Order: sequence, then C-alpha cells, then structure tokens
Amino acid sequence: MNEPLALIIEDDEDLAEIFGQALTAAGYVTEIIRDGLAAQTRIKEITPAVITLDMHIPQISGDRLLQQIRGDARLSKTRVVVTTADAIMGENARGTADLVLIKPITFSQLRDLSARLRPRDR
Amino acid sequence: MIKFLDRILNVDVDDPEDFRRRRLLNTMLLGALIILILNIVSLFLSPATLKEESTPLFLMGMAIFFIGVIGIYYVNRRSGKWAAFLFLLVLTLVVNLTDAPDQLANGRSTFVYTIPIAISSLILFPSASFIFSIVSAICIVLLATSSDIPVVPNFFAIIGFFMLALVSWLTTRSLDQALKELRATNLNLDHLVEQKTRELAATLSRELVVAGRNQAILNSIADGVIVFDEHNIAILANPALSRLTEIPLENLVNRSVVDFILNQSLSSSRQSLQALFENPEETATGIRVNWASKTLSASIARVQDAHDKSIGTVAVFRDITREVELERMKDTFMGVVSHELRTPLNAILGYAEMLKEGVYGAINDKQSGIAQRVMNSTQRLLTIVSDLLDQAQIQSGKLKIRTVSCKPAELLEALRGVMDRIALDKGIELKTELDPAMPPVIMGDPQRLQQVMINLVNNAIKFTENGNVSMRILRLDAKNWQIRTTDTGGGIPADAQEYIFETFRQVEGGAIRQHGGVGLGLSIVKQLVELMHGKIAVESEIGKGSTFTVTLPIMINDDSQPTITDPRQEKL
Repeated sequence: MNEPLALIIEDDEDLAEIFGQALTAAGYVTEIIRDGLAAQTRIKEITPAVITLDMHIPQISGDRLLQQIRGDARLSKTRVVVTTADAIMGENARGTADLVLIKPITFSQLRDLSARLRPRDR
Repeated sequence: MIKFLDRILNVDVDDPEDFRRRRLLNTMLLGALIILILNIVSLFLSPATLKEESTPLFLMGMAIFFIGVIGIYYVNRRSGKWAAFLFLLVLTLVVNLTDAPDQLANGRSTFVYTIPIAISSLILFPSASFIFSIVSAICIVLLATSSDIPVVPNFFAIIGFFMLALVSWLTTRSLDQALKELRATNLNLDHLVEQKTRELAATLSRELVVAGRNQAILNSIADGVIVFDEHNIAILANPALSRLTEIPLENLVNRSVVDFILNQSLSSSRQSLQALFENPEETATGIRVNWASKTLSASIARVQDAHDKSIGTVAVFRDITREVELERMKDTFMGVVSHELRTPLNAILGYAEMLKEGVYGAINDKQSGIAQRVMNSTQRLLTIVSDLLDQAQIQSGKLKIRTVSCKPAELLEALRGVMDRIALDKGIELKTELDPAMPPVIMGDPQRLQQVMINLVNNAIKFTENGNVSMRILRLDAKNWQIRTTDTGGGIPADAQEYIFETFRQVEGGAIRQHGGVGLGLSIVKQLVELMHGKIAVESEIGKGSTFTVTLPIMINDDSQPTITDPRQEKL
C-alpha cells in the first residue's frame, strides 16, 4: 500500500473517530493514540506523514510531544497539525506546528486541509 | 518723678473733655504753686524788698492764693466746673492785688486781666471768656473809681478784653470741635479694628472646621491616600494607607517618594510606580502593584494650585486583591469551558457532517437535510461560545496579535471557503475583490484577520435578505489598506450606528430574536481591529445597505522573526 500514514493523537473518543474518518477520506492510513505516554513511544517507531496532535492529553502534554517531534531528525518531513480547543496553547504552538486548528474542527475542514498536506501534493 | 507728677495731675473721670479741662486746671494749679514758691523764695532772698510797705499785703495775697490753690485742687477732684470757676475768681482777685489800683485800672498792669480771660475758655467752657471779660471790666471800673488818685477807666482795655474773649471763644470752640472729630475718628478706627479682629477669628475657626472635616473624610475613606509636596516629601497620609501597606502612619509622613517606592513590601512594578510618580500626566493610571500579599491599584495625580502650578502629587491606592483573584478564577473557568464545551459540540458537528457526507452509508435527502440542520444549530452554538471566549480573552488582555507574513489573496480564498456555503444557503451572492495595488504579501495575523473578515461577512449575510454581499481588499494609500464589506441589507439607523460596536448590543427592536447571536460579533471585530492598530467605520442608509470599512496599517515583511506582541504589556 502506497498510502501515507497519519497518526491521530487525541484523547476524546468521538473526535478521534471524526479525525480518523476525515484523514481516511483524505487518503491516509490512520492510527489513533489516546494518551501522551503511548504517543511518545509510538512516534519513535513510525514515520507518519501527518500527525494531528491534541494539546490536552493525559500523562504527557501535547506541548512536550511537539518539542520531541521537532527535535527528531527522522520526523523532519512529518507535518504536524495541532488540534486544540485552547486558543492560548494554539497561539503558542503556531511557531512550531505546521498548522494550528482551533476546535471546533469539522470533518470536511480536516479532510480538505490534510489532503493538501499529502506528500505527493508538496 | 514724672509718675508722681502724673498721679498728682490725673483726674479720675470718663468724659474725655472733662478730663482734659480738669487736668489742665491741675497743671495750672501746679504752675501757680511753683510760681508762688519761687516768689516767696525770691522775696526772702532780697531783704530790701521785705522792708517795703506793700509786703504784708503781698504776703497776705500769697497766702490766700496758696490756700486757694490747695482748696481748688480738692474741689477739682469733685467738680471740674466749680474748681475752674473758683480758680478763675481767685486768679482775678490775685490780679486785683498785684499792683496799685491806678496802675491796674489804667496803667502798666492792666494787661494782667487778660490772663483769667484767656484761661477761662480753656478750663471752663469756650464762652466763659466773655463772663471773665465782664468781670475784669467791672474790676477796672471799680478800681478806677475807688483809687486814691482818681483815673479814667481804660475803655480801650475793656474793648480789648472783649476782643480777647471773642478770640478765645472762637479758638477753643474750634479746638473742641477738632478734638471731638479726632475722638470720633479714633472711635471709628476702634470699631473697625474690632470688626476686623472678629472677622479674622471667624475665618480662622471656619478654616479649622473645614480642615477638621477634610481630615475626617480622609480618615474614613477605604482607599489609601498619600500626598507628597513639591519636594517629594510626604505631607499627608490616611489610616487606610497605613492599613494597606502595613506601615505605621508616622513612618509614612515626612518620608520621601523614594523611601516609599523602595519599600521592601513592594514586590512588583517598582519602575512603573516610579514612572507614574515622576510623570503622572503621561503615564497610564490604575497600574497594579503587589504590596506584600495584596494587589493594589495605584492612581497618581498632580496637585495644582489656583494658578496651575504644581504643588505636589497625590497617590491613591485601592486594594484589588479580591478582584484579581476573581479574575484569575474567571480565566481558569473560561479555559475549562473552552475545552469542555467545544469538544462535545465539535463531536456533534463532526458526526452530523459525516452522516450527511455518507461516511457511514447512504442516507436519503430528508435525513441529509436534518443532518444539515443539526450542523447549522451546532455551528451557531459554537460561534456564540467562541465569541464569548474571545470577548473574555480580549478583556483580560490575553489575546495576542501575531505579526507574520500573510497573503491577502489567501485571506479572501479562505473566506470564500468558509462563507460561500452559508451565502449559497441563504441565496445571497458573495463577491470578493482584491485590489491589484495591494502588496502580495503583508505582515499581520492571518487568523485574526480571517476572524474579522468572517465576522463582517457573516454579519452582512445575516442582515441581508436578498441581493449581494461583497468584500474588497484594497490599498488606501502608501501606509494603509482596507477591508470593505458592503451589503444590500436593510441598513442601520443613524442612532444605532453609534452603539453597534458595543458589547452585547444589537439594533433595537427584536433584532436578536430575528437574527440570533448575542451581539458580540461587531464588538469583537472592533476590538481585534484596534489591537491591530486599525480603525473600523460604518456607513449605512436605511433600505439601501451598509458598508463596514476596516482600515489597517500596511506592514511589509522586513525578514525579521515573527513577533508576538502582548497588547496588555504594551498598555502598561
């Protein structure tokens, strides 16, 4: 399979489902992780094309995960989409993330935006 | 000696006129007594004179005179008039004995009669001189007729007496008049001085009352007040300030501003406070300072006298510890609401959309329509929540405006991405236009610009029933660009144009019920535009539509790092 991988880090079950569906619709293979610690381990093993990252997740904050991803040369081509309801945290992440989406994030919005982030569209 | 003389000459009376006459009489009596003594002494010093025939008579005259003087002195203590009358009679009698009768009646000694005449006006009353001129005239006539050598009475002398009486009368009368006037003037002056003294006392006591009242007011207000003079030394502080700062009142006054600012309990904003003290006119008032465990709001103003001259500064400190705590609680609450409210709403929106898009299998048109309605309602709810949160953020100064490069063309494109569907649903044409004169890349905050544009277009669509809504981005001049939103809606009444930018306001007359929303959209737009150093204006005509014009400064990318400015910090 040639489809790029999208990692969804989101603790809310419903949003994780919606984001997953949107990214699937955009042509990604998706994987969902719902807590920070698991995400920290997982990003050392895989090289996703896109990561959607919630800032408020259990155990390890999205902020720290973002720093970790950015500090990893292997993930230099990974596009990070921060998805948060906290406008202030969103503002703070703007310099580091590729895209900051403040919740509410609609199905079609994420589908269309992530379709543009697909590697072949670069 | 002088005191002794003074005691002898003094008379104990209140009437100044009487006092003057009686004292003058006493002085004359004293003078007469001295002359008498000198005469006796000189008499005994020249034995030749003692042997003269007339000497016994002369001595007898003197003795009478001496007794008279003493007697008159005592009478003078009781009645000035009688004493003076007696004195003059005695004087006339003595005059009659001073020389041979012929010499007195018409000779070398006639002139001595002028003495009682002249004196009488002074010590008795002005017209008394006439009485004694008559008495003297009678004496001359009697002496002339009873003389051993008959002589003709000196009629010229008698006329002279009357002339002298006239002059004396006139002189003393004017003297009396002058004295009376002088006394009246003095009395007047006394009254004036007394009145002024009373007024001064009244003013002083009034000022004391005012000062006491001001002090009482100052002591009872809850805010801390301290006043520094032009040399920056504290001249006044109230108990409330002592309570707030936990510094004893006596350690607050008579200290300098520097002492106050350098107090160890002041844990923040020392420089801001100092700047405020140095330049109260040009520095924002109401700065927050942390004093020990309290948060105080400081306001400082210059104290000016009636001629606008600065005579010091007054500083007022208000305890806002509780308010600050509440603000912090509100911020925390907002953060929680922001997350907990948006997440489930986001889920509803997402599921409805996915149902509609057929992600979970095909649905019929009716079901699709319902899904769309769920989406619309959820979107409205989300907009309200977002607006409330934005408003709270702006008010607490937490909203940050970024300065990064952004493309006007992309802003319009993104706007269409969001608004085309909404316009289409309402059957309104949405037109966008980009002025070719606009720089392709400008510096700004794309998210906030987007928010302004979406809010304006959303608002325009909301209030337009048919026709079109257009948004133009254009270059105004070398330094400014504009976002112009025009609709063909109902227009805004002139009086309403003043308040549509106010928080929670919509045009009166059930607009909220008709159009939904809580009246925050335009208020947020205005506040965002102002945070971006821009202005917003509205032009509108009833029945023809409205144009909202946002004017912003053009910032061109200077290849510097993106900067984030905190509007609250700027304000301080």
